[in-house]
Order: sequence, then C-alpha cells, then structure tokens
Amino acid sequence: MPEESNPKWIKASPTKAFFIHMLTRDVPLTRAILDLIDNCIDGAIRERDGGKYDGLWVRVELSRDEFRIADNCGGIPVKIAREYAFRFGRPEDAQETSGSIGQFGVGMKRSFFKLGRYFSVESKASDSSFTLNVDVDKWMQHSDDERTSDWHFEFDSVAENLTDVPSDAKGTIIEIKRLRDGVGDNFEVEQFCTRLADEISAAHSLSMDRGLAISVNGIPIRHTPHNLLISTNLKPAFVQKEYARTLIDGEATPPVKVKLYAGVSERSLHDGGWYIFCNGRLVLRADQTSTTVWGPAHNLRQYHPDYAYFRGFAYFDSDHAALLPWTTTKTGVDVDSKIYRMVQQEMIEITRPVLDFLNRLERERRDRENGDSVDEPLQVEVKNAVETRAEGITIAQGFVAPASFPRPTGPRYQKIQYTKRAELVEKVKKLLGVTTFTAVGEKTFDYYLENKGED
Amino acid sequence: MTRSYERINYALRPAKAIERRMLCETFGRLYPFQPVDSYGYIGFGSIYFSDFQLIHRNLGINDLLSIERDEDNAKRFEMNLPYGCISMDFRESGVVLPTLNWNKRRVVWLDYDGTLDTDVLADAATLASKATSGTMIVFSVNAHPVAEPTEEARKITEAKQGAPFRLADYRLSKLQENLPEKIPTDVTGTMLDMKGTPQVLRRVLLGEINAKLAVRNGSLPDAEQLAFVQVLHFVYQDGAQMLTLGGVLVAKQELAMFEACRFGELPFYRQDDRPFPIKVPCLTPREMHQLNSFLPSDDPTQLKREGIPDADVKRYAEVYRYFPNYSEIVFA
Ligand SMILES: Nc1ncnc2c1ncn2[C@@H]1O[C@H](COP(=O)(O)OP(=O)(O)OP(=O)(O)O)[C@@H](O)[C@H]1O
Ligand SMILES: [Mg+2]
Repeated sequence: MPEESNPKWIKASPTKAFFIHMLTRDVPLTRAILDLIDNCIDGAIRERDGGKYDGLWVRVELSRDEFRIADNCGGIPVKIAREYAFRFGRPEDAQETSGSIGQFGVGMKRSFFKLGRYFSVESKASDSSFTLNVDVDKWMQHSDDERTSDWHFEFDSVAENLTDVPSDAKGTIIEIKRLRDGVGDNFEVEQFCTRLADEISAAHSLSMDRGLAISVNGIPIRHTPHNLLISTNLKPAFVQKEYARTLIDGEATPPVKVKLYAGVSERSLHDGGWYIFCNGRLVLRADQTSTTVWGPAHNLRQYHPDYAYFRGFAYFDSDHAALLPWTTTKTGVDVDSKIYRMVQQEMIEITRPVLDFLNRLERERRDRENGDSVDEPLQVEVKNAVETRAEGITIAQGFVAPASFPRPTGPRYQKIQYTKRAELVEKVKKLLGVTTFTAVGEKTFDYYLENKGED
Repeated sequence: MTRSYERINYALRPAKAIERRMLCETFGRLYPFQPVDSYGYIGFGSIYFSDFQLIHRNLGINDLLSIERDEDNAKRFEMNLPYGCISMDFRESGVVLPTLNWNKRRVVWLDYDGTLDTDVLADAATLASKATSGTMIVFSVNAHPVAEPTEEARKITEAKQGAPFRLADYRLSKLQENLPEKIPTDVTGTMLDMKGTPQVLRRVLLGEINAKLAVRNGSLPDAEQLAFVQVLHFVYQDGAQMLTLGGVLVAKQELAMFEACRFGELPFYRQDDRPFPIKVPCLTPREMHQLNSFLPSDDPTQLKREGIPDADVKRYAEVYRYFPNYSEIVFA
C-alpha cells in the first residue's frame, strides 16, 4: 500500500542529487573519459564479433568549453538506448555483449555527470538512429518524489527499422557542455592531456593492438605491447587455466579463462610489477603492493629496486563480464572475489622463481662491485635476450633462468678503496717509482705485508 | 653461513634419528590411500640422505626427490647419492615445489635448517594450495627461543627503544621480524620461552595452511573439500630445540581412508597442541640390552634396574623401537 497515509511507510528511494554526487565522487576525471572509450570498444566488439578492429576509430576532443567523443563503432541501437543504456545500473534481464568491458551499467551516466551539466548523444546504428539532449539541471528539477518519481530522458528524434544505413555512417557522437568547475581548466593543462593519453595507452593497449585507432585532440595514441625478455636460457613463466563458472557462482557456463605470464623486462622502477586485465581492459597497472603478490602477507619480499626488472601480466577473460574481479571504476581488482583469490596463489607461485633470479642477478652485481668476481653471466644473458610479446607465448612453461657460475673455488679477492691527500699520494708515487694509483695501492700493501705480515 | 651438515653428521643426532624412524613408521600407515611404495617422497637429503635411505629401504618408495639449494657443491651431493632412484633438484624449495605435479600422492618432509620464516610459510602455502588428498606433509623447524643478545646489541636495542631492555619484548620483535604480519595478536613476548616458542610457531604454520585451504575449498564441491589433519607433533633437542609438525591432507570423501590408517595407534600420535617430546635416555649398550629383554612392557615398575635412573628407563621404554644402533654402520 504505497500511501503516505500508511503509518508503516518509510521512505527509502534515492534522490537524483544523491546519485549524481555519489557516482561522481569516486571516479577521477581521466577515468570518466576512459569509461566512455570502454563503451566505444564494447561497440567495436559487437560490430566485429571478436575479430580485428582495423578501420575503427575513437576521437576525443577536449576544449575549455566542451568535451566531445566520436566513434564509428556501430552506434547504440535504439532498443538498447530505450531499455538499458541510460538506466542507472544494469537490469537483471539486460542482454549482454560477450566479452564486454561494460558490466555495471553506470559508466556512461557517471561520466556525463562528472564532466558537465548538459549532454547530447547522437547515434546511428545498423537499423536505427536517435538524438538526445539533456539539460541536467532541468532534469534534476523534475520530481524526485517516490510516487511520481520521474527519472526518464526523452529522444529529440528517433528512427527505427532503417535499411539503408551505410556502414561508414554508423557510430556515436557524445558532446558534453556547461563543463563542471575545474574540468575545462584541466582540459587546457598540457600535463592533464599527457596523463590522459598515458592512461588510455595503458588501459586499451590490447584493443589498439587489434587495430583500433584512438586519438586525443587529433593526436594518435601510441601503445607499447606487453613485452618480456626471451632467450634460450631465459624464458618467462606462462600458466593457462580455465575456471568453471560452477566454482564461482554455481551456474554452468561460461567459464573464466586466465593467462598468467611472469618474467623479466627492461629495468624500470616505475613499470616493474603486476598488470591485471579483465576482458582486455587494464584494471591494475604495475602493482607493487600486497593487492597482487608483494610483501610478507604472501610470503614474498616487498617490491624494491632489485625487482625493477620484474613484469607479471594476468589476463582474465569471460563472456560473462560479471564473473571477472573488477571494481566498478575499473581501476582495481576485487581482492575478495573467489576467482581472484584462487588466481592470486598462482601469481605468487610464478613470481617466486623470477625474484629468485633477480636476487642472484643483484648478488652477481655486488660481487663484481666488491671485486669478488669479474664475470657477469646473468647480466650478459639479460642484455642478450630479446623483447618479445607476452601473448606470443602459447605453450605452458615454468620460468627458465640461466644458472649462476659456481663461485670460484680458488683464492678470493677483495677490493680496497681509500682516499688520501693528493700531494701525499704523489709523493709516495715518486718514492715507489710507479706511475699509476693502482700501483701505489698495491706496492704499499705488499710493502706492509713483507715487513709486518706473518708469512 | 656454515651449512648444518658441516657442523654435524645427521646420523649421529640421536633425537633426530629417533624422529626419523618414527616418521618412517608413520608413513608406512598410509596404505589405505594407495600402496605406500607407489607414493613419492620429497625431502632435503643433505649429503647424508639418511631419510632417503630409511624410506627407500623400509617403504620401498622409488620415486625420490631431494631438494638442495647449495648448487655450488652439486658434485659432492651427486657423489653421495646412495641409490639410483634419487633425483636432485638444485634450487630453492620455494621454486621447485610449485612446478611439481601434485596430483600424485607424496610424502613430503621438509626438514629446514633454520626457524619458521616466510620461505617456510611459502612452501606450506604451495602444498596447501596444490597437494592432493592423501598427501602427508611434515615440517621440521628450529624452535629454540631467541637467545639473549650480547651486551652490545642490548645497548643498541635500549637506545633505539628508549626503554630498559626486556627479553620478552626483544623476543617478540625478533619473531615479528621473521614472520611479519603473521603473528596472532594475542601472542606476547613472555610466551616465547622454551615451552611457548614451538607452540606459537605451530599456530603460525597451521594458520597459513588453513588460510590457503580456505581459499582452495571455496571453489571445491563439498565432497572434495580438504582439511589438514595433524597426526605428528614432536619437540626435541639434539642441540637447538626443534619442532616437527606433520599431518595428512584429507578430502571429505576420503575421510574413511584416513581413519583406516589408524594413526591414533602410534604411541607418539599427537593431534593437538600437546607435543610428544622425544627424549633420549642416557644408557650404555649393555643396559639397553638388559632392558630390551623385558620390552615391550605394560608395567614400567617391572623394568626398574638397580643404579639406572627411573626417568631414563621410562624414556627408553617409549623410544626403544626407534632407537638408533650405533654399532652398526649403514652402507648402501
Ligand atoms: N559509443 C558507444 N557505442 C556503442 N554502444 C554504446 C556506446 N556508448 C554507450 N553504449 C551502450 O550504452 C550502454 C550503457 O553504457 P554504460 O557505460 O552506462 O554501462 P555498461 O557499459 O553496460 O557498464 P559499465 O558501468 O560497467 O561501464 C553500453 O553497454 C552500450 O551498450
Ligand atoms: Mg561502460
């Protein structure tokens, strides 16, 4: 009995203001833009059905007064727009795209509200098209009240059952105006654009690898593939696993497929660590914390400079995006999810032998520095190994590392260093009749030993 | 760092020798899972391979793997291999264990040189996450209380803390250094004495195993869910005090097999936090011979011997079947 006169009635419905506030709080500006690109990629997945993305593009334009993102990735079908795309949260019965990045049904709306107070969407799909303009302030003034609650938007124009949409006309254009405080300012800051480009490049490298072209203000985004060093004696670990869905939520299909790679790459303190992808989208970048494998909680050492060579890549893929361990902002993993906890143990185990090798590499460097050894077989092996795409490895294997030379069994040597006033050193040099500082050191040492030593 | 095998010949450490024989007898009871000679065995054989000799000779296990981190002396280890069926892996156990196929049932005895640390816990985690039901896992670690620091180290600690030195606090901080994030919050420094140290280490080790099993069980159907069931808990001292904790990974659907092993009949069986202390009696060969003719015995008073301390007689009665015989040289 939904009546205000019902004395047992307690209001619990959300207000629009709360929604907008809460949604936009926990997402940084760059992520809001990444979310919109995610949707373009979901369009591309539908359009190409898992094939290559050659010819598809996403163009992002940022200016002081306006944000614009346009793509030719298939558009939003009117049916989807009407029933699902603009709703807050994914309804249970919503049709899903196999292998999609979209999962929670909030991304696009959150981005609109984060960026500005006026948005327009123009879409041409294969058999339908629409345009839509929303003034957020006006929309918010519509009643919030529970009984008359009014959360809908309205198309400005809509056409269905079209037959003659040329495939190069299909796509979506989103424009956002009346940008929120600080947003337009940021768009003019070069550093912001650089950071955005960097995040897009990392987050969507797999889609770009498949041919998608992404640009920001006309500048194409470049990406670096996920490389690991390979040689005959140095090979990354590769583990491939399939987790039946029954293990996760009791349903029969589809499964979650996991690929893990751990190995050595170019030394970089900043880029060392674990990378985690869900349906091709990077959700955790160069993690160096206990979220992945680092630290005593996982019986490994903390990340530190000796491990700057380390790279781990974890790819989680499923046709049913809800099974993957991502957070709604797609900026991290859900560390409590069952699937993640199972895979995490595997990640820890394939990390260990790589760290073991890196410890030996560091020991070798120290031995050399101390003058205990002149060879550096491990360093040479790393130098001669070739950067190779991780995804190119298809056969399961353990980490292969070159063996250290056994420590020489002969007498050990120790380097000595000290500093003396230059004029005194010159004097000793003359007295000894030698020309190098090394000789000064050696001769004085020998001299002492001869006169004071036991034998 | 001196390697422990350079300090002492394992075969001459009497408590260790008794333990080894007790373990071997325990392993022999695993047959309800499958014939014991078709199990695999993994251990740290050192250069003496004492455990390998016993296990191969008594249990007929042929699939034997010795893990050895001291790669620099590989030749020496290989030269000392007593049988052709032992293979060596010259890497850290933490690197080797994850790469093995754990669908095979094995007996694993990880007899570490040092105390419980994150490397040991990592091995425990791997075994708990991977090993199959019917796998027997035994850990031995140094469980001696942390010694009083030297006068100098003591001063440094005092200066750092700005408080008078307390042995209990010092012990707790050393333990935390060794096992960061793993010490239960109710553990206090005063617990870390001779008796308490192995207790705490046992809790930490079991805690790690159970945490990993919980993750693993989360994805297993009810019948396949696993538990680590403790059967062995020794504390003994040849030099430093040692803790040995052993048990079997058992799936719910194989509990009957586990029951059929009847580990409970072993005189040294321990399922809880009360250890079986292995104490070596101090007796001459002649005294032992005399006692042997009255053993086994239900009535220890019968065994009383003029001039031999009762305590030694009692100890001997407990361990005589596992007592090493030094007059005999084992050649393999
Ligand atoms: N550029 C686009 N091309 C094709 N479809 C789009 C585009 N933008 C949005 N859509 C459609 O709108 C839907 C709603 O987007 P939204 O980001 O709000 O939710 P989602 O992607 O399903 O979930 P998530 O919150 O995880 O991103 C998308 O799933 C997609 O079907
Ligand atoms: Mg989305």
